[in-house]
Amino acid sequence: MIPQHPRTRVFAAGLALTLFAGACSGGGDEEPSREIDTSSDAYTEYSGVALPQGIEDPKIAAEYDEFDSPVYNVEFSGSPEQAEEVCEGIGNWLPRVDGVSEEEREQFGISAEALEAAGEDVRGCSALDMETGVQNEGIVLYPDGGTADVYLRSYDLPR
Amino acid sequence: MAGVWPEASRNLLHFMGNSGEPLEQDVNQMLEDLPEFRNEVDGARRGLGAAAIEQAQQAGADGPVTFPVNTAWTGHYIGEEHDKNWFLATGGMQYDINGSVTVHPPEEEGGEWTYTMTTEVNFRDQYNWDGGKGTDVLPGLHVSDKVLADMHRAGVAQEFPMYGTSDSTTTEGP
Repeated sequence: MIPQHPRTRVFAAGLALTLFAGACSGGGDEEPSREIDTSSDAYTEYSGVALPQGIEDPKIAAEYDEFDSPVYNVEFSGSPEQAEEVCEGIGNWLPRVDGVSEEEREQFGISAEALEAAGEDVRGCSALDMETGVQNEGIVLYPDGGTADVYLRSYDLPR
Repeated sequence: MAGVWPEASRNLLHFMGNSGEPLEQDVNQMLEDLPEFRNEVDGARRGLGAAAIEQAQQAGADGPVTFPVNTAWTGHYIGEEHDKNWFLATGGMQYDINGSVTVHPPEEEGGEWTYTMTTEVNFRDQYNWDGGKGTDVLPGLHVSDKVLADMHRAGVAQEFPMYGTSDSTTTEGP
């Protein structure tokens, strides 16, 4: 094989791709259903995250991201033990020494007031479900000693 | 492209080579090039250090105590807006942190608990392509992910596993 300069090889690859693009054109992508089920069961089925028994009225919202994949946001209040149960299940349950950034606050749907009212102790969790490719993330705030406000976010990790 | 996007070029060529063989990635370079990724890893390290201190305090440690560190695999997405080279080279990927952390109780009563942590970052991903996306790899040359996915399905190119490990890094805290 004649050695080629990398740029030459990449140009050849680009040319091949262009030709292949012509050969493979056609066939549209199917439109995903625009309805996302926001029940607790649907969230658990999607994310693999089981919400604790006994929590009252978890707020579950979902929308499509730029890749037409669902993104779930879940919010509930419970005991610190319930928060730990959920986040231990997700993985990497750790103190968030750096707190919550403005970008994260918006992504997780945490109000500025809730963040300000919470104490300095902020914890979080984050891990990829290897079977489904869903990334699950959580932030936990402690507005008082006996309550934990849990904010979860689940989405398909783009390729 | 190879000069501007070296990792993207290397991985695309390996894909076109159609071997399907695993290809090692330079995780040190990744951490250097991607401040968002580096910050995420550093934040996780600080969290691991804080958790280790909590655990040592709860156990009533009165001397240095060492814990293993082995995090769950976590996803991280390198967007086009972050770094086009790594976006094209890997995009969404997975990492974990391995190593150990040693907690040092305060030498004087009321002093500060500290930790020393030595960890490395492991990376893995599958070089593959989604339908419905695409990118401009060169001016005027738009390549859709569908085309690349079709090449894999047609057997003229092959997806492959990517992996890598950073050098060990020693950090101290809090």
